[in-house]
Amino acid sequence: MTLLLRVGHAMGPFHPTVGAFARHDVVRVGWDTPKLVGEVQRVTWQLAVGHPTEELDPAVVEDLVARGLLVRVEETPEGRLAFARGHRVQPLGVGTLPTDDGGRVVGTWTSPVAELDPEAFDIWAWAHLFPDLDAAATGLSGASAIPGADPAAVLDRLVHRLPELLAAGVLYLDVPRDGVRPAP
Amino acid sequence: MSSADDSPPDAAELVLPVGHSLGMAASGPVVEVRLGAAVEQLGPAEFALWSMAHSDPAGGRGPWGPAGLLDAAERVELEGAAGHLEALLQRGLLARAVPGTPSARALADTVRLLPLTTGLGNDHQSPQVYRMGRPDRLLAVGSSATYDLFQWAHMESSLWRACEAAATVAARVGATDPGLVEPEELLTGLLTGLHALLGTNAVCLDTWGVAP
Repeated sequence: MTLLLRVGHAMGPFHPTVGAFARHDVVRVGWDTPKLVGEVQRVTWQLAVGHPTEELDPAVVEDLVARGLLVRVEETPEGRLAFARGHRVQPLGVGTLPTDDGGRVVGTWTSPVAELDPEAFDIWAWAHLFPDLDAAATGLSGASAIPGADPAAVLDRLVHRLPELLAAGVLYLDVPRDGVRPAP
Repeated sequence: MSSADDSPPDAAELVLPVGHSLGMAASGPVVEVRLGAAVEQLGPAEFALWSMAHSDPAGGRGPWGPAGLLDAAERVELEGAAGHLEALLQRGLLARAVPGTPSARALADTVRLLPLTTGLGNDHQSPQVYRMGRPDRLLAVGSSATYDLFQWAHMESSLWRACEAAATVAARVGATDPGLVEPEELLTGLLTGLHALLGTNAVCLDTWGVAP
């Protein structure tokens, strides 16, 4: 199976003038801001948090993949590694109350968003300190609640947990900060 | 960033929380705050003060500084607030800065602005107003300059570098307003409105990844 995941920090619709319909939705991906034009593109991006369904328009998916707004992750060690070297995660929300299983509630103190178990919490809290997900898997191997004897096993878990964390809105995928920077 | 002299407090001085709340440990009444790659543990009184430093709990619109924070602590009968304030400043979990002065620049050199929510775009009835939050919960609003820093500042290696970059971009597209093309003015504008973003957890100040 292949995962289809949305990439980027959602920046919402842009209304050019008072009362006008949104011209497009903006997403920040690395140093770029690709646009989602129209509801089909916007919804396709929003829904890409796991295994693609047949309802998604293949042409729209291809376009968004080509523009870096979606990424396909082949669920093989090689596929995960290729994805991990080209992407990182960024957390959304703050940690608040403890959960019964030793995890945390994440969101804001007045409006919880998700309950994270210890493994998910460690991904949320720490993976973003590394320049990409490959480095995160290496750094968190043996030093977190993510089980796995080696970085490849940790990366397997990390990729496995990404869809639900993306869907819950407690993190987003990005490309490495030092990846491609536009010329001044 | 703390002052040891007895000069009267500057009315424009701000107190700002630094760090990303990781939440309450299951083991006891301690809140963990990530400061860079380290975890700082805050006891209940320390956390109360750190929390109140995010924004004026009474909703005041004036500069939110150490004097107001200590007044608020007294109103809620928080014991030892002055000592906790000093300790949190020493630990780097709180910072003091006066916008438009070297203390603001010193702060901006040592932190990054990390967005903790998504952008909701501009308001269709007031396109100059930009919104931040989740689709089901608006957390904060700001100008295009604030939204620009919300979107881009964390990509730079310090808040100051972010202000420099934003000013360069604004000048390149033809802006002339000093509030858009002067890094110092951008920083002043951001710091002046920052508590509205910190208080709703729309952003936090982080020390991870800071480089000169």
